[in-house]
Amino acid sequence: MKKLALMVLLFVAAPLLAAELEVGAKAPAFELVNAVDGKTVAFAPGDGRLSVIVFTCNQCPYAKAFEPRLIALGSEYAKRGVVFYAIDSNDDAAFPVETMGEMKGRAVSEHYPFPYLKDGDSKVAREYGARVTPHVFVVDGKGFVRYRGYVDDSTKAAERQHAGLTDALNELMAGKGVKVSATKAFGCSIKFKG
Amino acid sequence: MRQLLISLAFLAAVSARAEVREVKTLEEIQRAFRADTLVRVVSVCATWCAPCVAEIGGIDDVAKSFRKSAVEIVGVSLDDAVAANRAEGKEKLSRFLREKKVAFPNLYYTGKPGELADEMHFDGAIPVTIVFDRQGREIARGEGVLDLKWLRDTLKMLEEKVR
Repeated sequence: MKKLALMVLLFVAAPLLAAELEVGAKAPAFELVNAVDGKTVAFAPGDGRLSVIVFTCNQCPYAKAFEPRLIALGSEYAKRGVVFYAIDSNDDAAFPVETMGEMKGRAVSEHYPFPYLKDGDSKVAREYGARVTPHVFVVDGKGFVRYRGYVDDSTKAAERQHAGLTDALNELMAGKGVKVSATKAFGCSIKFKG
Repeated sequence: MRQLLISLAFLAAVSARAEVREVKTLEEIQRAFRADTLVRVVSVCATWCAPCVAEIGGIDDVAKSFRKSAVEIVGVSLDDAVAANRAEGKEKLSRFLREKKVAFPNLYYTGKPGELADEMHFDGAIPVTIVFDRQGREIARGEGVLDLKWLRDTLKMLEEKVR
C-alpha cells in the first residue's frame, strides 16, 4: 500500500489536457479566420459533407513531413466532395512563426488546396482534444466523428503499413464502417495559448 | 602497452558508434541499459523537437550526478521519423550530441513513433521521460517539458529506496 501511494505521487509531472474527442461524438462547430484571405470560415457539423479537420502548424518538422501528403489528399478528395480544414492552434505570441502572416506565406507558397485557419486562443483544439500536429478528425455528413488520429502510420511512403485517414475516407465514401477508427496521432505538441 | 592503446582506441570507436545505436522496440531499448541498473530512465526526444533540445543539457547533468549508481538514463531519439534517410538522421544526431557534449547514451529509434507511443503509453508528443524498474515496469513519468528538479528528486528517492 505504501508503495502504491508513492507511485501515485510520482505520476504527476504531466500537463493537463482535454480528452481527445471520441469516435461517435458530435463534432464541435467552429468559426475561424482563414489566414490566406482574411475571410471567416464556418464549419457546421451535420452540413451533409464529409469533412476532414487537420490540426497542423508552420514550424513542426513532423507536420511538415506530412504536408505534401495532406496537400495531395486535399486536392484529390476535394474532387470527390470532401472538405478539408487545416487549423493552426499554436500560440503565436510565444511562437511568432505561427502568426497569420506566416501562415499565409506558407499556404500560398505550398499551394494549400484548403483554408488554413487560425485558432488563436486554441479553443477549437481544446474542444476537439487535439494534442499534436498533425492530428486529424474525420466528421461525417451528420456531424459525427468517424475517425481520429494520424494521417498515416509513417511519414515515409515506403514504410507506410496503414493509411489511417485515406482508409477511413474511402470506407465512408463506400458507405462502409471505418475498420480502424482511432489511431495514435504522433507529432509536436500543440502549443496551447493560455 | 601497445595492445592496451589499441583496445582503448577500439573501445572509443565502439562507444562513439554506440551512442547512436539503432533500436526498433521498447524491449531493445530496455536491453541497452547496464545489466546492474535498477532504476532505468528512458528519455524520448529528437533534435527537431525544440523543448527536447532545450532540456537535454539538464538531463545530461542529472545523468552525470547519478553515474556509478543504480540509476541510468538512456535517450531515445525519434530523428528517423523526419530524416531524409537513416545515415543522414544518425549523423545529425551524432553531431548534435557532440556539439551539446551529451555524455549519456542515446539510441536511434527506427520504428514508427506512434508504435513507441503505444508501447510506452504516451500521448504522441515528445519530450517524454519514463522511469522503469529492472523488470521494465513503469515507476514514474514526466510528459511534456521535463521538470528537472522533479526528475532529480524522484531518482534520488528511488536510488535511496533500492540502495
